[in-house]
Amino acid sequence: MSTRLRFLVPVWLLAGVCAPASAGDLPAMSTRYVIDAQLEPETRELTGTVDLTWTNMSSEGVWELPVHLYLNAFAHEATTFLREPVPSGRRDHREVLERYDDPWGWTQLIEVTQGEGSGARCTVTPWQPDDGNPQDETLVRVGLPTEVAPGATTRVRFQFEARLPVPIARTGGVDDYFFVAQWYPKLAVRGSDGKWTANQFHRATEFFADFADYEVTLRVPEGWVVGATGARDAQDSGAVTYRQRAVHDFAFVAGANLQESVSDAGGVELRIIAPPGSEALVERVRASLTIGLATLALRVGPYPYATLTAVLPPFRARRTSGMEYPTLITGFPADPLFEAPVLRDLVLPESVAVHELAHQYFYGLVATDERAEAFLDEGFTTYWEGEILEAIQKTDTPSVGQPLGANLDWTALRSSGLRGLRPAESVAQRPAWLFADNTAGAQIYARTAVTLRTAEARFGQTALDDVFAAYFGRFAFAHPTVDDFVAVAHGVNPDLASFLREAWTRPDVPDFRVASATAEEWSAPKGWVRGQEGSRAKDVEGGPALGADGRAEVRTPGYVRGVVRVDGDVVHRSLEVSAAGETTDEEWVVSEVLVEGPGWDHLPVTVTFVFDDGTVLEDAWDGRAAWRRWRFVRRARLLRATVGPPDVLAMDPTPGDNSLAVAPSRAFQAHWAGFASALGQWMASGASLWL
Amino acid sequence: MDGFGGVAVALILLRKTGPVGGAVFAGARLRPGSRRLLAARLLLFALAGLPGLLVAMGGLKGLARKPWFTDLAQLPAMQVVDLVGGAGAAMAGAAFVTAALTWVAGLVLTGAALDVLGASQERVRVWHAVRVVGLPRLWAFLRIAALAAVANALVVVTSGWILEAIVGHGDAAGWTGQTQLITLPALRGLVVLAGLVAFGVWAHWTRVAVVADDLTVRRAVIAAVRKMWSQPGVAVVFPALVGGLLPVAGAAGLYVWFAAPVGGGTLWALALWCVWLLIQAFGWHWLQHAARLTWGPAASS
Repeated sequence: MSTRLRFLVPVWLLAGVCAPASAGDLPAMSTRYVIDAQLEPETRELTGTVDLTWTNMSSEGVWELPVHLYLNAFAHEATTFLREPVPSGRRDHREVLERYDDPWGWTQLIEVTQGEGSGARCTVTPWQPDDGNPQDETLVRVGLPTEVAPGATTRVRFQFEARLPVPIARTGGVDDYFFVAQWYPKLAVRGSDGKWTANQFHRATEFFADFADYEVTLRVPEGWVVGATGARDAQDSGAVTYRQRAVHDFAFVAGANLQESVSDAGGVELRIIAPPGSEALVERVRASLTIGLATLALRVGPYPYATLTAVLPPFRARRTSGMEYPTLITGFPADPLFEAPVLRDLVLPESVAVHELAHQYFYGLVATDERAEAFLDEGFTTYWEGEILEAIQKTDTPSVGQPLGANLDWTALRSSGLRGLRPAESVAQRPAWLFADNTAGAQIYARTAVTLRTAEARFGQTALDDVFAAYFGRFAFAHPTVDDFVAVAHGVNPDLASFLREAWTRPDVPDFRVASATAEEWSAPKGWVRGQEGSRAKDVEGGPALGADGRAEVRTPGYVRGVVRVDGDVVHRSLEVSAAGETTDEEWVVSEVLVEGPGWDHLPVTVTFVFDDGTVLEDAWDGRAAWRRWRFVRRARLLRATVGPPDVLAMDPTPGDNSLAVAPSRAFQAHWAGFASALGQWMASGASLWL
Repeated sequence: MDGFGGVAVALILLRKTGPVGGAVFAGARLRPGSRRLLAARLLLFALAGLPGLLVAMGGLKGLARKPWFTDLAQLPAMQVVDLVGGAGAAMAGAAFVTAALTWVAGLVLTGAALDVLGASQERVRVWHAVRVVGLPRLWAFLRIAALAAVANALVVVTSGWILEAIVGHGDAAGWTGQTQLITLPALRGLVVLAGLVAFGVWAHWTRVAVVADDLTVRRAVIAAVRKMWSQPGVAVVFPALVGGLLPVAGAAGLYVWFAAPVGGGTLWALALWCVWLLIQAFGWHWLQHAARLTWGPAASS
């Protein structure tokens, strides 16, 4: 099935640049990759050369280059990647390793030279700056025979041999399908201060590289379908060349049994590659990406590239699904499984597709450091996934679907991932690959996303859109940090910035709770009580002194913030009446409510009290103390108390305890208790027939 | 329609097998003591369900105060998840308590029914049969149930190993997700269900042999296998149909209850459930009556 092809080496560099995308100009690059590689499907081998042209933009000379060899993460079980715990929400690799005789992958540098022509030989030394694991070779130091002075340009040629793993995580292939990512020697990122950001490949985090121009020639078996980063520039027998300016990675797919469809999505050439028989899924993905591109262009900024390719992998390669590369994404696996009942009611193909699309902006264009601050990409992307789903579904609250007829709310699903997040850690702590076991996913994805939804509810969608648009406009191609984002937010709305800073630096997730809600008949105090006329009397009957509707005794403790101490107090005041009830001659009732809160400085809430006479009272609480207690004495009984509004509490992982009724619902109890009993009767009936 | 067609063909075949097949249809008729047995079975289900109901009511009290659950007549998916998380243990406990009480008491009643339905006299004493036949046979019935449970556990475990090996091979070979995650597990489910039904039929005839011929469990096991082998139609097909269809109908009723809106929907779900309780009581009676007619006269009473 595979065909051995001629090996050609393009030795000339393009003099000009690619035509800019229709949405805008791309900046000039100081780095260029020209790659020529051949794929051998039978052995899973990839051989080739990388010609790297790099300009030293810092003020210090450079004698060595840190280079990523990511495929070495799959060489054996003791690599840093394979021995670190699997983050929640990511797939365990062990079952894959057991299913194949030789699932492993690696990269070997045959020769590295510096300079034109045959060049001078460079040294290559494995480097483990993060964990000192001597068996991890995902990062190497390439020692240069000639210093690269500040402002100077050098050319380094890598001759490499690689073996792709079976699809363990993100990259790999077998038989007639290959998704090839992180496959070539890739330079680390050098900041303008001269410091390299170079990390090993970790389980919980992804990739960070600098922008460059790419020209890549791929040699695959004839007749195979190929999709890749950028635009297809030339195709010869068995060789296809792609070019893309101003991206920081290059990935490709090649397969024998694939189909490709092309459409125009608002000026962007949209290619979708999938196995045959996936037409219905392809259309769902196409529709969602088209709306997604329009939504992001309108609210964040124009997509500057001419092409976007979406690959829907076969089920066997599902571990390469749901991933982003510049102008190339992998969506949900294309498989008849997802047309089965219940699964087909979920919008998983759409949500994965638009999630990876949103990555084009934060991973692809703004390009924050995935290892240090993964939440700036994954969390932002997850937030925009929800926003695009709203646009697709034409609703204010996105839904993941209607399994068995019950709506699965997107925000509630995301915030539920924050339950039991122990130990408490702040989202913005660095590096991201050192979150506590099984918490990285919830922190990086869900917590950031629901924080942004809370910000949207508190400050308005327009304000948040303005922040994202300004951030994107200023920091595209610039590798910003969280401080840059918060500074942009401050320029739009200082309160918004304060909220985000608190939300991302505090270790705890805000959890409000209506701890108690009671209503009991008022009784006059026993003993000698002084009446309103001034004299004492024993065991006096009559109404209470605190009787004016709407007035409540509000008790709030003090709190301390660093050196600032705020005292608590007990006040009697009127609350806002949002619905007036009818006055009655009912007995006086003492109603009390206790609400516990997280003590945040920038998350005020409204507590609502509903009474059985139809009155609804509201109290705005800044939420800074650990709790607040209200006491009412009215001719009406409290029915329930609620902390809200719910969209402001999107970050609350337990929305169920944000409201509490005084009396239980008997209908609810009867329904579900009856169901449990019926379930037992059914089990008994089955047992009597089967045992 | 295919399922119903299959049932119809099976029933026609049973009828055509002559007097023995006729025993199945004769078993559907009520005889002296039947009404009391049916009433006893329904009363047993109702009473045995009460402790579980009270346990569940208590376990749900906390959630019943939370408008997050009670404000909506039909729960969205996350609230269902939270319901299971918040009260799942109490509800599961209630279900198991109900199941255990109902099943054990049902075994006693089954022993009495096998005796009553095989009696030759016109006047039968159901509660006497419970004391004299049902209660003393309970230990034997429990041992039969344990044997059936072990046999089914073997089927579950073995089929699980086989499935895992097949899926592992299939994944490497490029089989679709639908095949690996739906078709093959469904086949395994059918195998497990067939095992449940088959061992259930065997346990049923073992109980019949214990009561009808007053055999020990060891001898009754062999007698039951002989019966199933000699008369597969009436001894296997008919009980298998009952053992397969009744629980499926019950599962449908449970789903209706689960999906029903709280309040008015609860009443309709309850009404439908009561219909199912009647059907399953009648099905139980039919099974025991046909078994006694097929097996022969009672050993006592």
